[in-house]
Amino acid sequence: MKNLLSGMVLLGLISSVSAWGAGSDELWEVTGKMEMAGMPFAMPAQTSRICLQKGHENDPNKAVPKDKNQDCTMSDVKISGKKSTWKMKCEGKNPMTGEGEMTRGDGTYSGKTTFHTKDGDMKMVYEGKRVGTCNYATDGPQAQGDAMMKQMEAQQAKSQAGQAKQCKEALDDNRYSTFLKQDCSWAKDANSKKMCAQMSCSDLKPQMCSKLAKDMGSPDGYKKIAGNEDAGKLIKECGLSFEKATREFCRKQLSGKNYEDLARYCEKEARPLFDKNCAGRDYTAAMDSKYGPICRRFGKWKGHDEDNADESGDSSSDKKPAGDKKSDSDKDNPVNKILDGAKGLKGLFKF
Amino acid sequence: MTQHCFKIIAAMVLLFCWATAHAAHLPFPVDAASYLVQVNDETRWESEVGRRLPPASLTKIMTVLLVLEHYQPQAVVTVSLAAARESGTRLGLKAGERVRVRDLLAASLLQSANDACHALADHVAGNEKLFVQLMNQRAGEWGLKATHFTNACGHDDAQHYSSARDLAKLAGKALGYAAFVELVAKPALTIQSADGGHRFVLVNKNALIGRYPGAVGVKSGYTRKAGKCLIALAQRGGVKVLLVMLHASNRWWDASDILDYAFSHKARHVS
Repeated sequence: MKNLLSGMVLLGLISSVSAWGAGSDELWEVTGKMEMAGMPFAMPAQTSRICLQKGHENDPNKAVPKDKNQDCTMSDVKISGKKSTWKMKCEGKNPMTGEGEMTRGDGTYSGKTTFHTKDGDMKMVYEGKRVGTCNYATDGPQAQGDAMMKQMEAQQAKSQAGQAKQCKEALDDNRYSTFLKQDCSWAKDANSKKMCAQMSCSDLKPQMCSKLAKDMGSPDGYKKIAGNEDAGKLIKECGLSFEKATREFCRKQLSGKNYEDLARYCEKEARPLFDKNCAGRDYTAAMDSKYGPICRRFGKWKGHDEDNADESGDSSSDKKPAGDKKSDSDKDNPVNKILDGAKGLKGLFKF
Repeated sequence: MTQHCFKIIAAMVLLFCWATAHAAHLPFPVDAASYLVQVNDETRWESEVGRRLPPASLTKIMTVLLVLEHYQPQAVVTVSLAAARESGTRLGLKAGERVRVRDLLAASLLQSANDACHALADHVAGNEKLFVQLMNQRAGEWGLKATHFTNACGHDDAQHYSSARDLAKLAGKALGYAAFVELVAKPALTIQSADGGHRFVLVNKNALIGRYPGAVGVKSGYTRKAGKCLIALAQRGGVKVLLVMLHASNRWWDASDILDYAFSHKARHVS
């Protein structure tokens, strides 16, 4: 991350080389975008204004002020027509090397710079345009660089504060997924790892785990958690036991005769109730009884259907379906095959 | 050789299209002579859907449809002797008794009352025989090729038959009428004769209403030849499942299982 910040500052500093050939203090607006291999998200484009002093345009070491945290020098500066190339080397806390190129136009320029750091390569692409005049003493690259660094640090602090706020809200709203372990393989240095940890709200994770443990112990909390995939993962990460919570929840529902919740959450406890109170009963009697939710939950059982009074009043003794020829032949009737299969299943599963 | 390969590929494509276009059987045994399951109007599972079978009181859906075509809910019907003499499930209407059309409709759909159904047929066509002609005319117009009626209310007769496919179409048409939709979803209703002297408590014979979550219709039926028949409609979260079962053994339990299965497998998967 520090490398990234330094890179963003350098973006501003290097772009000041574009002042070569300018006749007075000039204000330039520069838009740059940084890309780093392995970053899971794209950095947004940054636009900044840079003031360039007359007379320094031919000496990049003078034209480009130094980052306080870096010791950077430029070498092999070559100008060929409107195209310029150079190399650079930074030592100190975040050593890096790099090379850049730039093409100037009439009041515009564009270019790219590649940095090689121990964490990988960073590439900056940028373009600038002259937008007015300025006072180098107050608006020059050094002042601009310092301001930019402060701005970046302020933005980082603001971002961290925003992240902390989001974590607190996630804790309050039980957004379990926010607290799950993140894939931080993209983070190479300590700062990046810290940032990744912040993204998974690791500071508040112990509190989330405590809250989860408390919720699992209450019936309402348990019902909210049961079936929530993210909660299930977090329960494991917190080292909690959902099975134990389930046993306790179901024991309470059984003693409280809460058949709706037993049917929904407690198959082990509900099964014996089903066998005892649903098997053999007709649909309406079973469904209208207090065990209705349990009877419906395990509906693969075949009960005795109630025999409605003849709705259309015929009294033929032939119980087979009438109609086309198929129904007259037991041999060819696929229903009989299905019934035989069903009987087989009944025998197999003893229902 | 190339032409031969093309033919084989074309045959395989046709076979694939045929296989994916045809609804499969349900993956568990259903004790019914015929069944059909539609999810959001698309047939997903079926068995013997074109087979001609006695529809029992599901016939009354056609009867009610013909009443709804020129629906006059407040019109008063005088019960004929033939209607009062109806057999099977009845309200107990007396010849000469006057009942409003909307109440006869409710009695036909919820209680499956044959005297109310017959009175409606008389009201629409003058007598049941003429009404049956109208029923068959509509069946022909609507392309119900496996359907033929000989009476208005669903009594068994060798020439009185329909199929699960036709009955699903019929139910679809009936569900286009708000009055029908409203009635078939009611667990119970109290009606009275036009003069208020005779009250009837109707309990919906569709046992799923009020018991199966999301059940909103449609109609049950039973005769000895037809067995237990059912057209069930259930809706949950924007998903609509229509089930037709003819000559079923355990229609309520099976319907409950089938509807559960349909709701949990509502998305179509090509396997």
